[in-house]
Amino acid sequence: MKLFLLLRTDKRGFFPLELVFSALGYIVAVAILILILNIPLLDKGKAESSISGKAETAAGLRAEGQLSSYLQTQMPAKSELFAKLDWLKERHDKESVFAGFDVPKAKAFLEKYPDVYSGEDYSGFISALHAIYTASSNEKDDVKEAFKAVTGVMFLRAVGDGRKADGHLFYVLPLGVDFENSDKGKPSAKTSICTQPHYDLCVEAGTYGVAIGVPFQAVQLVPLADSSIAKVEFRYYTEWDSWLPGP
Amino acid sequence: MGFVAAGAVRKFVEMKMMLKLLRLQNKKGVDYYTPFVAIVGFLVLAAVLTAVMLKQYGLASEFNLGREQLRLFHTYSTADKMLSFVDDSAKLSLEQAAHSSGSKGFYNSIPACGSKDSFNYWSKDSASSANDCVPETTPCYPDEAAVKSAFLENFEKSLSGFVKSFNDKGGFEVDKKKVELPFDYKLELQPVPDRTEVVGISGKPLVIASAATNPFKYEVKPSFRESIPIDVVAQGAEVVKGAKQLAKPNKKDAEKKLSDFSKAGALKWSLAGYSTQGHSPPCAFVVEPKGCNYKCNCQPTTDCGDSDPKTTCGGECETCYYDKVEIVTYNDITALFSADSGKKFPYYDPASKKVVMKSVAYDFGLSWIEVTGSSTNC
Repeated sequence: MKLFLLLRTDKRGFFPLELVFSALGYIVAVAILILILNIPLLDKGKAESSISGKAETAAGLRAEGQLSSYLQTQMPAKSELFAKLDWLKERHDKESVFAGFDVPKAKAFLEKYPDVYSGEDYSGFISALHAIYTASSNEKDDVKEAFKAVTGVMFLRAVGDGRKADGHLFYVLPLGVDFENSDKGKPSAKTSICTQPHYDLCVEAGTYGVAIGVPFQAVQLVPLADSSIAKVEFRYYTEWDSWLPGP
Repeated sequence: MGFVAAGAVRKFVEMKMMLKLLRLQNKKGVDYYTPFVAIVGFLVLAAVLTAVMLKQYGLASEFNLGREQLRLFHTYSTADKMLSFVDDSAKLSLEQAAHSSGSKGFYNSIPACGSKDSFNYWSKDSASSANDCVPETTPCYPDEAAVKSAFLENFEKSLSGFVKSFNDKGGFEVDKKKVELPFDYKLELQPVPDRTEVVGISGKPLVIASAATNPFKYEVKPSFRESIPIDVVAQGAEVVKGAKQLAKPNKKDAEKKLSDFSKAGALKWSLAGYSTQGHSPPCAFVVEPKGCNYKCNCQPTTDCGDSDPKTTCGGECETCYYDKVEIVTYNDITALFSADSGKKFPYYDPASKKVVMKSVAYDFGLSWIEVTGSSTNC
């Protein structure tokens, strides 16, 4: 005790030992804290890539959830569906922003084959379209147009845009159907979905003004009547955030 | 006193020496203690931190931040996708089973009444000598239990085809390990008005297991409740009821009855075929045993040259006895019927190997006998 007091009360300017031990104790405590919290400090790059990589996985999961919701969406009744198609045509005639949609052709097809959507959900609609797509080569284009227009009006999104008269920009997130499941359930290349020949049906109507970023892909398999499997690929862009409903 | 003073001085000197020793002072009073403690402390701390970080580095490279949590989400998502596939397959299987069961008259194999042109007979007449050629009718109308059984059998067959296709040609992977759908369903038809609903609960779970080193395992028993907007069982019963009323009509009557049926109910009845064909050989039965006799086994007694010895030469003949039989000639009449529900579903046609949109139809045939004449003969 005397010795300790002597050390503390050193009047000749010597460095006090208690300060050294306090510093050591502090550093050891921090080290233990780091150990307990399991924080990787040595490889910052690895930590960053880990976080960004998992963010990508999370966005992919978001895309999968969205595709799952799409496929389980009940098809609208004829009156509702045709009203939406009319809205789309009117919009297209006015602004020409929905290039690629042939609404009259799609409506004629749906009039001829009401069973493809009546009482079905969206995955059932795809299965039913497969029957007509494969049965006759003459109607393949009609099937494509019907798919494009129906998917467009069912899943149209809108973002606010002050430059537009009504303040909206509309777009459809890309979606493709491969009746042959060529990639065995794997996502395809990230190039434009409609330029890839193995997609039998596709839609990607990004209106101008909507920035295109990196797509997050989701794939689901849909059974077909001949016991084969169709691959449905959906692409989600985090940049294309929507806050307004469609038509 | 002097002794006590000397002791105190010695104690003071010892304490001073100890202090010097502790402070690592040399004789000139230079302090080595502080740098010594700092260097040793730094080295100890560096050693501790290095040991910690080396362990940490291994952990950081192996376990990324949030990896387990995201793997859990990914596992749920994959299981959800697979269960969605089962739901979609169940719905498509309902449609396929409606087609298959209806087109085969709710028989998955040829019934006792036989079949013609893929139409299974629900009723067939036959005539045999054992029954004095009186036409006998064999009924093969399916009852409700048979309708349900045939439907569920077709449903299960179709669903197993989809699951097999998924496991063989599709499938999903978790941690680069393929996950397969189980197939062991307990199926039950549910009584829902105007719909056909099936509930299926798998006896085996869908298992998503991580790598061998990871104890994480996710199990879920697939189940579904799917329906289609036609009541196959009720329509089947309606068709059987109509078929019984159609018994043995001529073509004109049949067409009229079918027209009446179509007007009265939701099904559209039609005659897919009507044919009348003479049955060969005709039916024969004994009306009088040994009722006929005539000369037989004649032996020529004279050489008649080229002439027939029995007729021209006479001879010794025996008397033979034969049964007197009645020969009944009749026609087989076959009528093929179809009752169309009007509800179209995708259907894989095995003949053309194509998928077509086709309405669910209930096909069956009736076959009966029309006696055209009879004669007595030996």
